[in-house]
Amino acid sequence: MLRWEDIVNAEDTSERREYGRMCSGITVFRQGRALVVLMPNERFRTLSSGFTNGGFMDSPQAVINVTSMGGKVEYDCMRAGLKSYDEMNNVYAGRLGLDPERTVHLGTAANMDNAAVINKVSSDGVKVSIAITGGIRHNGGRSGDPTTYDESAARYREDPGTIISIMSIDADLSDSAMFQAMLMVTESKSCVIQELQARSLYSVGIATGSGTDQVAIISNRNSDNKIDTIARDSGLARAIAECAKEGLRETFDRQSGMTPKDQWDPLVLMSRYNMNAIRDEIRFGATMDELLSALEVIRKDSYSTAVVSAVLNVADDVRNGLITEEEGVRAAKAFVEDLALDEVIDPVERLRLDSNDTVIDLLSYACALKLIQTVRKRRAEDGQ
Amino acid sequence: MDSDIIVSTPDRVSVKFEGTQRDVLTTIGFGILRSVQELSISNDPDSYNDGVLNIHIDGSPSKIAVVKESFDITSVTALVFADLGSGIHRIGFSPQEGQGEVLVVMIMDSDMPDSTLARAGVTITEGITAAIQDLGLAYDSMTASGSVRQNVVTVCDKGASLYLRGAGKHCKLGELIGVSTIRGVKRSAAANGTDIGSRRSAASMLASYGYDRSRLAEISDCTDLAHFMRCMAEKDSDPVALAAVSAVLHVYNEVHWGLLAEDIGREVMLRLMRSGLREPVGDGDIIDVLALTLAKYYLDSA
Repeated sequence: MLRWEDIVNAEDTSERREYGRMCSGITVFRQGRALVVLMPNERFRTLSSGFTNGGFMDSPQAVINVTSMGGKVEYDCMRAGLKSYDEMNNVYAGRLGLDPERTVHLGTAANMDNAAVINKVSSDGVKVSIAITGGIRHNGGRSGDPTTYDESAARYREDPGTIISIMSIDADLSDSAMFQAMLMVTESKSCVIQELQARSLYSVGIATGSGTDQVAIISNRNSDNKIDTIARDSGLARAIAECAKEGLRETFDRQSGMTPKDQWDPLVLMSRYNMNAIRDEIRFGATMDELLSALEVIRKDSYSTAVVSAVLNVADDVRNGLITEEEGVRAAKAFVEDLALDEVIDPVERLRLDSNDTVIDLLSYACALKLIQTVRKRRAEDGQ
Repeated sequence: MDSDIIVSTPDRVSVKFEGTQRDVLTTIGFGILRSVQELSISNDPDSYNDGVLNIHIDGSPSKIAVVKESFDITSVTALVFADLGSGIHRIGFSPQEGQGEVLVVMIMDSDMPDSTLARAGVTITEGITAAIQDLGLAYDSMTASGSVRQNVVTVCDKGASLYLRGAGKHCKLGELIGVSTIRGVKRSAAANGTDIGSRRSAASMLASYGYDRSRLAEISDCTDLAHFMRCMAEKDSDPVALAAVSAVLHVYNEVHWGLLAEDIGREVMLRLMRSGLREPVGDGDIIDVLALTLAKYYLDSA
C-alpha cells in the first residue's frame, strides 16, 4: 500500500527558485509542491490559523503553503488524524531543507504556480505584502452554512478549494494588531467573493470564503515602527485590504479562471439556487440540439444575465425577509415579462407561467420559455 | 458553558467561568490572555486585572444578544453587540460617519490550540459580513462588510475534555460559530434599531445612495412637502416597488464590480424602473434617474 512517506521521499525537492519578493526582506520561493516564504533573519513573529505550527510563533524560519498530494494517499493521511497530518508536514518541511519546528505550515489543493504576490505601501508609509493562492469554485461556503463534518466524532471530510493568505507587514505589530490584520484579510476576501457573486455550495447564499481557508500574518520585530492597534479606517487597514483584494482576484483568475467575465453567465448565477437543467415542459417543442444552441446564445447575452441576476436578487429579498414569497413572485413575474420574454400567447405556457408559486420556480420556467422563444425566433429567421 | 454563570444587568453582561480557566484571543489591546476567570462587557474602559477581562462598548449592554448553539457535545455561546445604525464600513474604503460598533465574544466549550482561536475569529468575521449582507446595509453607494469599530474575542476552555482544532465553516464548531454570530448580530442590531423591517422602504434603500427623504422631496418639484410625505408613505413599501429599487441597486453594484458593462446595466436598470415604478425620468447618472423616478412614482398616486 502506497504511504505518504513513500511519496514524500520519492519527491524531488532539490530545486528552489525565486518566485517573488515581499516587504521586510522576505523572499518567496517555489520548491517542490511548496511556496516557501522565507524570513531573512530570526526577528519575526507569526500568527497562523493553520493546523501545523499555527497560533503565535517567534523566530519562524519560513511560512510554507503546500499543495496536497491528493488521491488516496492524502486521504489516508488525513483520516489518520491531525497528528499524522502534522507529522507529514514536518517531514516535508525537512525535505525542503527547513527546520520543521520553525516552519509554519499551510495547505491546499491549489497549484503554487498560480500564487499571486502583491506589494503595497500604505498612505503613512507602511509596506504590506501578500502571497496568496485560492480557488472556491468547488468549496465556497457562507458563514453559518450547514455542515456534516463533526470533528468530535473524528469523521473526515475533504473538499477541494481553499484560500491561503500569507501577509507580511513591515512593522512590529502587537498580538492584537496581528489578529486584527488577519480578520481584515478575511473581510477583504469576502468582499472579493461578493463582487464575483460566487456561490456557496452548502446554501443558496453568496459565499464568504471556503471552509478550509487559512491566514498567516508576519510581523517584523526588527522594525522601529511599533503598532499596537490597526484602526479599520487607517491607511494601513486600507493597504491591507487593497493588497488582499488584488492578490485574491489575480489568483482566482490563475487558479480557476474565476473572473467577473466568467462569472457573468446565467447558469453560473442560477447554480446558487440549484437551477442547472432544461425543464422538461419545454423540451417537447424543440429538439435538444435547438435548445442547446439557444442556450449558448442566452449564456453569452449580458442583458439576459442581468435580468436573471435581478430576479435572483428578488429571491434573496424573499429569503432575507424583505418581502414575502407571494410578493416576490408578483415582482419577479413583472420583471421577466417586461424585461425578458416576448408576449406569452400560448395558453398552456401562460397557464404554466402564472402557476409558479416561488420566485425560483418562476425564474426557472421563465428561462425555459426564453429558450423556446429563442428557438422559435431562429426558426423564423431560417424560414422554417 | 452550562456551568458558567452569565449575569446580565442594565450596565454589564458578565460571564464567570466556573471550574476551569480560559484562554482568550482578542483584537482589543490584550492579544492572547491565559487563565481568564471572568469576562464582562460594559461601558467601562477595556481592562484586564487579576484574571478579569472587561471589554468596553459605547452602547447599552442591555442590547447584547446572547446566543447559544450546540451540536452533540460541541457547543458555543456568542455574546454580541451590534449597532449598525451608523459607522458601517466596506473594508478598504472610508467608513460611513458615526460611531456604530460590532463586538462578538465567542465562548467555545472545548479545548483548542491558539491557531483554532484565530480560525474561529476568521469564521466570526465572515459571519458578521454575512449578517450585514443579509440586512442589505449600504452607504456611500456601496454595500457594507463590517463596522468601523469591530472587535472579536474568542474564548476556549483549557480544561475541557473535547479538544478541537477545526473552526472553519466545514466543521460543526465552525457552523455553530457562524450561525451564532449571524443570529447575534441580527438580534443585537434589531435591538439597536436596524433590522430588515426598517429596510422595507424604497426611500430608505436609496438613502444609502445619496438620496434621503428630504432630498427626494426636493427633486420631486412638489411644493407641498406634507403632500409629498403623504404620497411617499402610501407607496414607499409597495412590494413590487421595493423589489424594483432593490434590483436596480443590485445591478448598479454589479456594474461597479465589473460584472457587466455600464451601457447594458443601464438598459436593464431603466427597464426595471419602468416595470416596478413608472417611466424613468431624467437622463444623467443612473442613481439620479432612479431617485427622480421614485419621487415621481410617489406623486403618481396623487
